[in-house]
Amino acid sequence: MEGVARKWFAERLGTGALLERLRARQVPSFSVPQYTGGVVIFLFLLQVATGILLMLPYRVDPASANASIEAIVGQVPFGSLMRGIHAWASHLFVAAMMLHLASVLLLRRYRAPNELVWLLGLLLLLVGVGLAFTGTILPWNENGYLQARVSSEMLGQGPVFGGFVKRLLRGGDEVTPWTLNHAYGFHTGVLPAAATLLVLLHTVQVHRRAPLADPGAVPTIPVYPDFAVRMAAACVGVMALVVSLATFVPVPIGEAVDLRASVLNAQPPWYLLFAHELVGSAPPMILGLPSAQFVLGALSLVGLFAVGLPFIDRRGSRITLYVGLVLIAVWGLLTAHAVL
Amino acid sequence: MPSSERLLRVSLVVACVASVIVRAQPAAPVAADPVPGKVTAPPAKAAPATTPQEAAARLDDAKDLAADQQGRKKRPERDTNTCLTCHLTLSDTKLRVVAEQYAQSAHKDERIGCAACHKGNPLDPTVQSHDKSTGFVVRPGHQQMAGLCGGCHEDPTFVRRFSARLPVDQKRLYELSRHGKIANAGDTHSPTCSDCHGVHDIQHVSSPSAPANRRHAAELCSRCHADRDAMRPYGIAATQPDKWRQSVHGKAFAQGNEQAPTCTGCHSPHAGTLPGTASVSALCDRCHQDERELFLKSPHARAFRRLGLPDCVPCHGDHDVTRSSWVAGLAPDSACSKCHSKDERPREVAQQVARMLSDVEADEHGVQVALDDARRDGLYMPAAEFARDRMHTARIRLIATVHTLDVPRLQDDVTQAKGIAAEAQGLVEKARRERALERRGYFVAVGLASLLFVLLVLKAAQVARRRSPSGP
Repeated sequence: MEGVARKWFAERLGTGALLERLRARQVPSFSVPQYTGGVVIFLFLLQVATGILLMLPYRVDPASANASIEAIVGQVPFGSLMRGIHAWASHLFVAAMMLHLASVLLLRRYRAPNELVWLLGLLLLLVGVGLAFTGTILPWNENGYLQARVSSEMLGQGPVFGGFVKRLLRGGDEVTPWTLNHAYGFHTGVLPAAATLLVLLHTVQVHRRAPLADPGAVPTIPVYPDFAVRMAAACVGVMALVVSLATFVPVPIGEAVDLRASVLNAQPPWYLLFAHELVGSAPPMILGLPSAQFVLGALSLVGLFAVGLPFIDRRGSRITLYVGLVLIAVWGLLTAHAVL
Repeated sequence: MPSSERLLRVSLVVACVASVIVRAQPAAPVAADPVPGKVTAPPAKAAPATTPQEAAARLDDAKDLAADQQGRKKRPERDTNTCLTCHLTLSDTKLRVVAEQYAQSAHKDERIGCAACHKGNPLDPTVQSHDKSTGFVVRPGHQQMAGLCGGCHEDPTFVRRFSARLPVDQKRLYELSRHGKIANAGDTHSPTCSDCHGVHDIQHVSSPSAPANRRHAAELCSRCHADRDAMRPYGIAATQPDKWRQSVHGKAFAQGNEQAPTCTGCHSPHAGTLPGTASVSALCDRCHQDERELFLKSPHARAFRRLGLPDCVPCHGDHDVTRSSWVAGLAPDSACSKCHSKDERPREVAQQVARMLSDVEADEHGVQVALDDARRDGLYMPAAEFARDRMHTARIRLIATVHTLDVPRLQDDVTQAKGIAAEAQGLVEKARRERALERRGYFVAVGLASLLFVLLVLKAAQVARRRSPSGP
C-alpha cells in the first residue's frame, strides 16, 4: 500500500528522476562552504517560519511596538520561544554567512567559473545583514531607536548612494514613526523576497557549475543520500543549539523609546561593531574628509575589491589570499577591541 | 486690478530698498556712553527729574506689550539705570556684590531699576545721584519693606507687563497674617518680604534656586520655626519642622514626591492661616476628599462634634501625620487607644480593622515580591502587573473605608483586595507552571533531536559502507 502511494507520487512529481540525478552527482565528502552554506539556508528558512508567526502579534506602531513584544513574550503561547529562536537564529545566520564567505575566500572558490555565484553571495551578505539589522529596530526600544539613528546617519555618509540609502532607511530625512514602518517593510517584505530570490539563484548556480576545481583530487560522495543525510544531521545540531539558546538565554526586550530621556549609549549589533569602532576611533578629519565619510568610502573600496576579486585573481598569485586574510584579521581585531 | 497690483509691488520694492538704505546708515550717537568707572559730569539736558517708575508709567502700555510679545527687547534711548555702570566695577566688595546680584535677579529689567527701591536719580552717572534730596535711601527699613514691594506687586497694570500669572494680592494677604500683624505692630523679628524672597538676588519662586521655592519651603520656615529661643516669645513649640520631616508627608517629600505637602501645602505662604481654619483638619480634604466624606458618615463624626474635637487631627496628628496602618489597632500608642482604653466593642472593631489593614498590606507586598522574582526570571506578565496595580487601588480604598468604621463594608473591601491578590498570584503561578512545562518540553525536544542526530550519523555511516565495496 505504502509502496503504491510512493510510486503514485513519484510518477507525478518526477522525484525518481531527480533522485537519480542527485545520486549521480558527486560533491567533496567534506567541504566547509557546502556545510556553512547549507546551514545559512536552514537558518534563513527557520527565520522565515518563526518570523511569519511573529508578524501575527507584532504591532507596527511606535506607541505599541514595544508593548506588543512584551505581550509576545508574556502572553502569546510559545511566543517567548518563537522570539528567542528568531533572535538567536539571526545572530547565527550572520555568523554562518561570514564563515561561509571566509571559507570561500580562503579556499578561493570564487574563481571562474564561479564568478556569478560569488557576486550573488556578496549581494546576499548585504541583504542578510540588512535583514538582521532592520530586525533590531522593530522592538522600538532605546537601543533599536538609537541604532536606527546612528547607523543610518553613518550610512548617509557613504559615497554616491549614501543620502539615498539614509532616506530609504529612515523613510524621510529624520528618524520618525515612518522609520519603524520602513524597517518593518524591509524586514518582512523587501529583504526576505530579495533573499529568497538570491538564495535560489545562488544555489542553482552552485548546482549547475561544478564546484570541483580538480575532480578526482578529493574523495567525493553523492548528493543523495550521503550529503543529504549529513546535512540533515548538521541542521538538527544547529536547531538544537538555537533552541537551547532561546530557552536559556533570554533576549532582552529593552525599554520603550522615551524621546524625553537623555541620549543613551548606542550598542550596535556585534557584526556592525567594526564600522562603529573605525568611525569612533578615527580622527575627526582624514584627508580633508569627515572620518565617517572616509571610513564609508574605504569600506566601499573594500566592497569594490570583493566584486572585482574573481576577475583580478590570477592563478599562482597569492596576493588576494593575503589581502583577504588581512581583512578578516582587521575585522576580528576591531570587533574584539570594541567588545573588550 | 493688475495696475493696482503693480502699484503694490512697486511700493513694496521701494519700501525694502529704503529700509536697506536706512539700516546701512551708521547709527547716530544718541548720547555719549559714560566710560565705566570714570565719573563724568552729566550732559546738561540728560537729567529730566523723573524716576524710572514715572518714566515706565508714561510708556505706552499697549505698545510695550506688543513689543514684548514679538520678542523685541525694548531698548530705551538712554541708560536709565546708570547705578550699575559704577557699582559693577567698584573695588568695595559689599557695594559691588549687590549690583552683581541684581544683574542676575528676576528684577533685572530696564523697567525695574535700582531706584525703584533705593530712589535717588538713576539717570545721573555721578555720586550726586545718591543725594538725600533725591529721596535716596541706603537700606529701606523693616516696616517699609512690604509697602516697597507692594508698590509694584500690588499694581496689576505694572505687573501684567512682565507676567500674566503673577498674583497682586501678596501684600494684603501678608497684612492679614500673623507675620504681617506683628510686623505692623513694630516687631522687627517678624519676617517681611525680603526675609523669605531675598534682597538683591530675588528669583522667581518657580526657580529651583529661589529660597522661597516650594522645594526649599521647609528649610526656609525652619530658619525661625525650628529655633526654640526665637519662638519662645510667641509661644510656639518650634518642633513642627522636625515633626513634619518624620511624617508621611515629609518622608514622601524627601523621596522626591513633588505632590507631597510641605509647609506651604497647608499654610498659605503669605496669609498664614486661612479663614475658617481653626484646625488644620479643615484643609486635609483638599487632597483626602474621600476619607473626609466617609468619616462624616461614621459614628466618630458625631462624637467628635459633641466633644468639640476637630475631624482629622485627633487620630492622625497634624505635622506628624503617620502611616495610616499605624493609627488603627490596640497598641498603647495607637490612635484608638487614646480614647478607647477599656470600651469592649470599639476595641474589638479596632483590632479587626488593624488586622484587615496589615493582612491586605502583606498581600500586596507578597504580590510585588512574586512579580519582581518572576521578572528577574524573564517572565513578562502584563495581566499580573495590572492586577498588582488594582491591588494597590483596592488597598487605598480599604484605607479610605476605615473612616466609616463599618465592619461589613470593610469586609467587602478586604474580600475584593484578597481576590485581586489571589488573581495576581495565580497568574504568576500559571506562568511558572508554563515555564516548567516549557523546560520539560525543551529537554524532551533536545532528547529527540539527539536521537535523530545519532540516527542520521548512523545512516550516513551505513550509506557510506554500502557504497564503499563497489565505489571508487
